[in-house]
Amino acid sequence: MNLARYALRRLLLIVPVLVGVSLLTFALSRVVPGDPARLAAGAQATPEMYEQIRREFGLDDPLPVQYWTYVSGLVRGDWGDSILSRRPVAADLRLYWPATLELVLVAMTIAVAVGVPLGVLSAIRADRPTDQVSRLVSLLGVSMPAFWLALLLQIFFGLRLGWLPVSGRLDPMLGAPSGGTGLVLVDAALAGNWAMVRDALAHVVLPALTLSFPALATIARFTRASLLEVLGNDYVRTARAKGLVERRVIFGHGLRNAFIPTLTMIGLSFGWAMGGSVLVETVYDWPGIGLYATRSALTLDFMPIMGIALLYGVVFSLINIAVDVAYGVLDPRVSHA
Amino acid sequence: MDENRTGRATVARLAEAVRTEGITRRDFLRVAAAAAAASAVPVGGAAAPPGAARRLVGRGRQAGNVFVYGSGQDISNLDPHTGHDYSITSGQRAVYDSLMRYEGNPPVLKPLLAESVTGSPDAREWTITLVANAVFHDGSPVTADAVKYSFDRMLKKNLGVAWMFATVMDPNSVQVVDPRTLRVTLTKPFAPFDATLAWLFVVNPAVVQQHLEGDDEGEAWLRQNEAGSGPFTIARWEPGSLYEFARFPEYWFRAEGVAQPLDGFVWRIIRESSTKRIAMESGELTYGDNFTPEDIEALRQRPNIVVNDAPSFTPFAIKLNNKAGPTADVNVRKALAHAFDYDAALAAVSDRGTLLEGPLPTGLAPWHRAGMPVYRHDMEAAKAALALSAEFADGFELEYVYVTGLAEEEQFGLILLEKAAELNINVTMVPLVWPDMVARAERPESAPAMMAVYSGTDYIDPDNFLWQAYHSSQAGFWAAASHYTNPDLDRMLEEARASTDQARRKELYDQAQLRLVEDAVEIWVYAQTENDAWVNTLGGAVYDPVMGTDTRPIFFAQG
Amino acid sequence: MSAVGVDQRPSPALGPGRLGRRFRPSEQARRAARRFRQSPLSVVGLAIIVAVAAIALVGPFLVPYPDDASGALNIREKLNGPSWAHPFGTDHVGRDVFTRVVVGARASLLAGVVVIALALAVGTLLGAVAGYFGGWVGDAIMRVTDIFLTIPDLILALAFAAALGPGLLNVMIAVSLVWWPGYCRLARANVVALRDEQFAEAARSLGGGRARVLFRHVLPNAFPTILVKASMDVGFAILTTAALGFIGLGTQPPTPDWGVMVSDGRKYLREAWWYSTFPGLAILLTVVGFNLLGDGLRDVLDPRARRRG
Repeated sequence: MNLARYALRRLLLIVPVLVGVSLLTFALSRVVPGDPARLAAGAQATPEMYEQIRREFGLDDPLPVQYWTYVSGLVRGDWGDSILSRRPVAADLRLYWPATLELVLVAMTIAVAVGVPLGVLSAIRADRPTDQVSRLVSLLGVSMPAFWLALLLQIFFGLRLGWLPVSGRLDPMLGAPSGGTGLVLVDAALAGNWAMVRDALAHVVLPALTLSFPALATIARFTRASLLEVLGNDYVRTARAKGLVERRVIFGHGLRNAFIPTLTMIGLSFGWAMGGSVLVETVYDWPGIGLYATRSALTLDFMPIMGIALLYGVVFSLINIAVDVAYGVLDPRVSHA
Repeated sequence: MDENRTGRATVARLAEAVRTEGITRRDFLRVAAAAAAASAVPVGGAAAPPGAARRLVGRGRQAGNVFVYGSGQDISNLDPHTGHDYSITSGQRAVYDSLMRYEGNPPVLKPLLAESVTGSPDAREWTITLVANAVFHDGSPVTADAVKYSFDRMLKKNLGVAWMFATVMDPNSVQVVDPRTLRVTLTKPFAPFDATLAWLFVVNPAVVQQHLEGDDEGEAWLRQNEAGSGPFTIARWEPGSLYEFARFPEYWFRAEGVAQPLDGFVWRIIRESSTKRIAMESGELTYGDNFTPEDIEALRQRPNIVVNDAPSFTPFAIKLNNKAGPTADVNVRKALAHAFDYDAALAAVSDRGTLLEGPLPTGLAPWHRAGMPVYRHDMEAAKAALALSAEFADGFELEYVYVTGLAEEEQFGLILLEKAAELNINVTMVPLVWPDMVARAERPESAPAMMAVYSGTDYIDPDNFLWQAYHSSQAGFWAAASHYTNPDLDRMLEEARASTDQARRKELYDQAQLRLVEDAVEIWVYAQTENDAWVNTLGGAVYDPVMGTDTRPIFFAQG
Repeated sequence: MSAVGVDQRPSPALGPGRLGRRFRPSEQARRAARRFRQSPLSVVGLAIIVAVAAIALVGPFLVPYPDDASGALNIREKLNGPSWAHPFGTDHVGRDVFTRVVVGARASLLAGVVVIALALAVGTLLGAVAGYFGGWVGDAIMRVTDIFLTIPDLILALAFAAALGPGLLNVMIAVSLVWWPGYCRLARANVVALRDEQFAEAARSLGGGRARVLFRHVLPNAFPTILVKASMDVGFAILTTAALGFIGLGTQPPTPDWGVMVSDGRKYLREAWWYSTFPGLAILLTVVGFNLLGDGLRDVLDPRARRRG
């Protein structure tokens, strides 16, 4: 099928991009000030220990050899070790990725569930008070420093009202969730552990709200714009002229067509949320990739950064492909020839 | 204090295979521990008690018999012979036993695995007898061979705590006399040797041997697994967020006064003080460290929370480079020491500390030399000192290097910056990560002109503070970032650590302190009162100023 | 974060068909100013930006405690709440938060403008070359932008900033390194659309060199769209540099930096709400200003999109 072939071709095109990402981050890791072997060896390391570490990390090899070692390791599933913790980056990513994925998924759910209706409302009441309020929300959403909003929510809901926990992902006294997905909400629900589901929900609310805000704003803005454009189109005018009631015009014709470009926006927002998780996770001590990235960057531990860039590169590319394929499914006019 | 109480990175590489094996073993231990602990307070895996009416967050809920410690610092390396900072040692003390241990405040040295430690009059020959009933977590007994193995491993790795031992021991020092007795022959007399034994954690050689990788002595595995005989085993290991330790049911030792030992110990990482304070107030934590002074005062108002007001032996000093740059000139150092505003520094930490008078904490009785002519804020004296060095009269630039994100160190730097400006000295603030600072301290040419350092306390003896920071053999070690070398001082410190005559030692250490103050080696600022708080249901010796937290003497008061 | 300005198609309104063969500034400017004035929000945006810029320029000379921005401390006055003497309260070492917010405007605004100027210069140049000349050079340039755009911008900025080390200049370089690909793509799309237009053909047939036609005829016509993006992006660049400051990669003390101030104040959230709140508000206000301005400029330069956003 045409669409499947298109998807496959796009998938294959990820490879060169990822090679580029690995080259970029590898180059970056070699210009970092300070000697990584010195950091890894620690104080009072003997010259022999230092030499040994240089050999272990292959720092004495020529750069192309070092790069080749890194890339061939990647293919085997060895993403290198963190220089400071000595843990394999692949193991760390497996540990932290589900937390970030869960956070981003909840945030995007909020963003879509609120953003799309808000945009629709705004469009059908264009230039009236509802629209003005919604546009103000959108403006604040994209302009608000996420880390600052996170603090405000912490002060208000955590400190003043005491309604919600302000850090972590789960009360540790509830034990570790068992289950394969790594998403606490899903694992706990599957196990029927409702106390844990409730606790996990309470923990995710504030970080997810913070993270959803810019995405929500952008989606609302975009939905409004594309709906207005569609409503101004000939066939909608025709539908109106035919006497179809307003509601059916909007939901029957307008929304479906308006949603197609909005989909792109949702895909982009997903990528933005992955980046934004750096700030949100830092404020809420959310044990995910964002916090891992911050800690690694601040300690100049570059192996994890390289791994994170690659992981996000893969995820982001897949989302883009999914969006484009969905485009094709929703809109038969788009050709994937 | 994150990172600053010594993070020392180390040397080995982890293989995926070993790790997988490690995880299986951990899971096994967890199941075993859960099955064995019939008293079954929820530890690892088990959910909240059924039917318990929990509010959304679990506010006010008792954590049961589990000690939950909230800290800003990660346990980055559990290996007992390479990792050493306060969070690491808290984890190490949970899963390993040492030969001796410290308890209470002021800390008292007590035996643990060692039934007795006796030294010869010249402090060179030491005989260690082990207790008979100690067992490792696999059930095998703790033998003299295991102790020797641990000594050898520590000396061979030569990291972490090795600085305390390496100058007085060689590979032939330890001999096994019989399964419960060892004889240690030091290369040089060393009077506080028994005190340093609080830092020799004993590993199970059989377990370590199963996890060797190359010549790493099992380090890759031991960084996040254990081979000990301590009160706990590892139940959960989530780097960067949470470590959970479950009671080892066959643990052989019980501290005096403890009726019901803890069922679990959780190390939870909460980086921000304000967040930690909420967790503390809502009963999610039983102990929290490194609060801001403001948070400590707020917690003090809570009827169910106790805050620490006991002084610690954790001195903060600004290390001055004695070998290179303008600070190599003693008059410049004196000028800086006089320019610094000590009262402002104390105010910056809301008076949570005691000003230092010289290199030793004033609370270190009887060793601190009282009545020394110490430096206090006096701009006239500072200008006079600087005037003695004509070449520096026109002003110059100095770097102040401190740990990124450490608010107090930044404040002390700002205090210095403000006052130094009046001397026409331009201070540049350089935040760095701790490993970078350690690396820079190594050579006089790269060592910063001024470097902020908090040093923890390993053993309660002046040797701890003076040797690591001022003996010439230590120059370049982070605690000796000043690169101070003085043959006279070396002689004093060497004689003092070799002598068992306490009066003579006191005399020598007094001379040494006077000498260091005279040379204005560093800007000695204050000994911190640690901003820790805990719930009032805890009994026993909850706080001790030695590095890390030992849970052995801690229990929950009944009712 | 540049998601708002995703519309990268060149506007037909800017095409030479309407404007004549060459970009005619005076005529367009008059029309533009009229449209701009009709949108009150854009005027508000412009007012905010002018105010912030004025504060950045003259504020440091008018603040009540100028020394508080350059190293003076007053520890005994720490964390005092807002009062007449200190309208925004004092910080953890007793400095006037108002003074530091005002002086901090300079670093933030500078960071935003420099980042976008750098990104715009590099990105537009490369994008124009890629679009106008095409070929393998163009392909190579666009593949490089693919690589940059695949990594979330904050992660990439974090990596660059960490590698370059602390300090405002390094942070600015790091953020521009992350932002140039956006301009590269936009410029390329515009140039591709414009290069075969009649006016460009005409210029070439009159003997203009390829480079000359690109820079004298094609790029100027593509520029308004790029400018719309830039005006919004300054706000987002301020947001990103503030975020890096918050994480711990900002200006070195004692120079005030809004992001660093929010981060420092975080330790005293409950005792001193004002400490994090006011610098945060300053960031918000400035970014809102640039967003409104950008919206207004888009309405002016791209009437087709008027009803959107």
